[in-house]
Amino acid sequence: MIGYLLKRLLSSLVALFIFLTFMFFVTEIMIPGDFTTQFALTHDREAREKIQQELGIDLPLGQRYLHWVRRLLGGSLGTSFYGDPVAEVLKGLIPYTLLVFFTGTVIAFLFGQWLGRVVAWRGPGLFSGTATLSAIALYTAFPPWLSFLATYFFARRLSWFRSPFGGNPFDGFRQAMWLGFSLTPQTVMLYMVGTSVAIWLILIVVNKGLGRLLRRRLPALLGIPLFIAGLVGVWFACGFGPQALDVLSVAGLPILTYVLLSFGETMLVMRTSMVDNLKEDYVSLARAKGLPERAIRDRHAARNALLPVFSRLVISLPYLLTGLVIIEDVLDWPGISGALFTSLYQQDIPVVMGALLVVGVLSALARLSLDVLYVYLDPRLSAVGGIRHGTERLRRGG
Amino acid sequence: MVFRNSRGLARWRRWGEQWRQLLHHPLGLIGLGLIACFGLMALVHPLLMATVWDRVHFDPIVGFDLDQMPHPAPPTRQHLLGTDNFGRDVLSQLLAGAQISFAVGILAALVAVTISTLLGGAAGYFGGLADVALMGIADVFVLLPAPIVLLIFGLLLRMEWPLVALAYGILTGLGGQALVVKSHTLALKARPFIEAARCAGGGSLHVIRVHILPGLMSLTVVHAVFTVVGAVLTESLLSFFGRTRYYLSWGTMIWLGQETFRLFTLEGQWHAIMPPALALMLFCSGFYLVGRALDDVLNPRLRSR
Repeated sequence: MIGYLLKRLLSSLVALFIFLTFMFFVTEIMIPGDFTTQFALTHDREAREKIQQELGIDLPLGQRYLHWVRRLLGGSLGTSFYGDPVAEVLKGLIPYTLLVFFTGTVIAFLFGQWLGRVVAWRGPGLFSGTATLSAIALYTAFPPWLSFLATYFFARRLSWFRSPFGGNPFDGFRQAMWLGFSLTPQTVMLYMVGTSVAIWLILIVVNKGLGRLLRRRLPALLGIPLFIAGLVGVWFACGFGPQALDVLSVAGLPILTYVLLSFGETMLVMRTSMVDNLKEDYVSLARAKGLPERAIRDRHAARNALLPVFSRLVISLPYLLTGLVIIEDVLDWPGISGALFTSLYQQDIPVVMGALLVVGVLSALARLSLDVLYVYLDPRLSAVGGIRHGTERLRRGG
Repeated sequence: MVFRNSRGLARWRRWGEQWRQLLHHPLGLIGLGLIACFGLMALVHPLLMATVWDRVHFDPIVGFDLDQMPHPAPPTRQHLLGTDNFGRDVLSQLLAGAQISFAVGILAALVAVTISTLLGGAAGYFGGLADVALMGIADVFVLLPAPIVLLIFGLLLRMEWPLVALAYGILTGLGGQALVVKSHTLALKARPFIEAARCAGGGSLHVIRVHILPGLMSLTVVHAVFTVVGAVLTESLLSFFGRTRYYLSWGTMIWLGQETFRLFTLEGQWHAIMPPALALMLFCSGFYLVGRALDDVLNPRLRSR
């Protein structure tokens, strides 16, 4: 198990490195001129050469690549052409992306699999047809347009959220709340993600304990409010409650758009897989045993139906990230997309490479954690050989 | 129709049967209807330009209506969907954009499917070094989301739509699709009829042509249909972010509409954004629905596990 994960990690690192090399050469070769001929036109020739030397872009391409590799292996991302270390630049942006990516993916997955389960359980009909068609429509919707619609309805018309657009004085974070506050928005975002994972785990442990002691589990309808109440309670207890709510009232819009864009795929795969599973013998057996319908649906059929959904999610993670980057760009949410696109306009290659590295690492890490969850879901796969075989088989099928 | 041998006839009959199944698949029928609508739109545009619409007012690129001031204008009797910032008729652009979308989608799908079938099939059939090389390449390209790579390309190099389609096709064909084709070929290769063909003296070329390629056909068709969706969305994204040569497409239309949209703090020109955005969504939904229906019809064994 651990050996398999290590192997997986190593191979994704190698792939990531090749990916970055590819992008390095593509950007370096395709960029017209260099940084100084583009942005330092007022300097004379000597001054420009001096800048070139300082930035290290006077060397031939091969040597620049070797320098970059050496720095990367040394754990440093280098310095931006504008003077700040790349790591610092990225540190300011990653929490924004992480908050939306993590929260959005979890919500989209949970909602999608719930909807797919219900639709498959109900069978064909008006509800199922509408749900399926709208999921497909949202899945194929044009992301920028979806962002506009979400801004229009949820921020302007309903005022549920404030839009992250910087132009309107009533948008963005409430400056007064953050003045004189000891934490930056970035730290608060990281704490928010951390506390929600912690409370989730606590709820799971409590649920298991309840199941063992009282033979009863928390119903989902009670669990969700309990989770939210616990989360907000912890935020206020830790002293960043108002600020966290402020972050959410702005982050809600990108999260919502991201969820709308990405829940469809989960729902559709879950639906097909659930329909297939409902035909299996063990479902008839469960029914013959006299189990309540809800238990058959949730604990027998849905649990098996989840496996292809998971393997599908693993494949589509990079695409979800792409959608997120686009949504961030359209909504002016200051995440990693800023580093990617703005820096490319400014030919700030070190920052671009850093941002690409972050995107790659995020998707590799998410893949790895899904792999772990996968093994937890499917006990058959605990054997080393089993995982590979099983995932490949399911990927073919999913 | 005359067939050289009975195998051809049998294949033809099977396709007819599958086509009938597709027409009985509710989702597939909706998808086919949508695609037919857009096909009609693409075809009707040159006809309208030749008969009803004059070049001066209705040309999708250089048309301008002097009587209709100011631009952008909401829908009127003459301009059924209104005009955009530059005074061009939105409906005419919408119809012309359908042509571009079809062209992009089909070109990208052909490229992607050719690459993935050739590479994936070779890796699966021959194994060995070809397999190792392919897995290495494909693992990298799986990490690379094509839209992001193309957005980066687009910043450095203004592309026309054929280049966008070509690049998208290569990026997707080398990635996940090749992996799926490879595992499918492996499964095919283990089937007894391949061994029988070999025992009967069939060479590699014969086995590939007669058994492997037709066996991969269903997978290939499904992949092609899904590639159309991705390619059209990606092309529109590139156009939307202004990373192409500003040719006419739905993405460019949304981008132009969005310019007025932000100035008026979201109370602006919905009529310029909605038609291309809805068209894009319905176009992609149509192909997606057909893809899913084809998946059900052509690969029943794969999904039954």
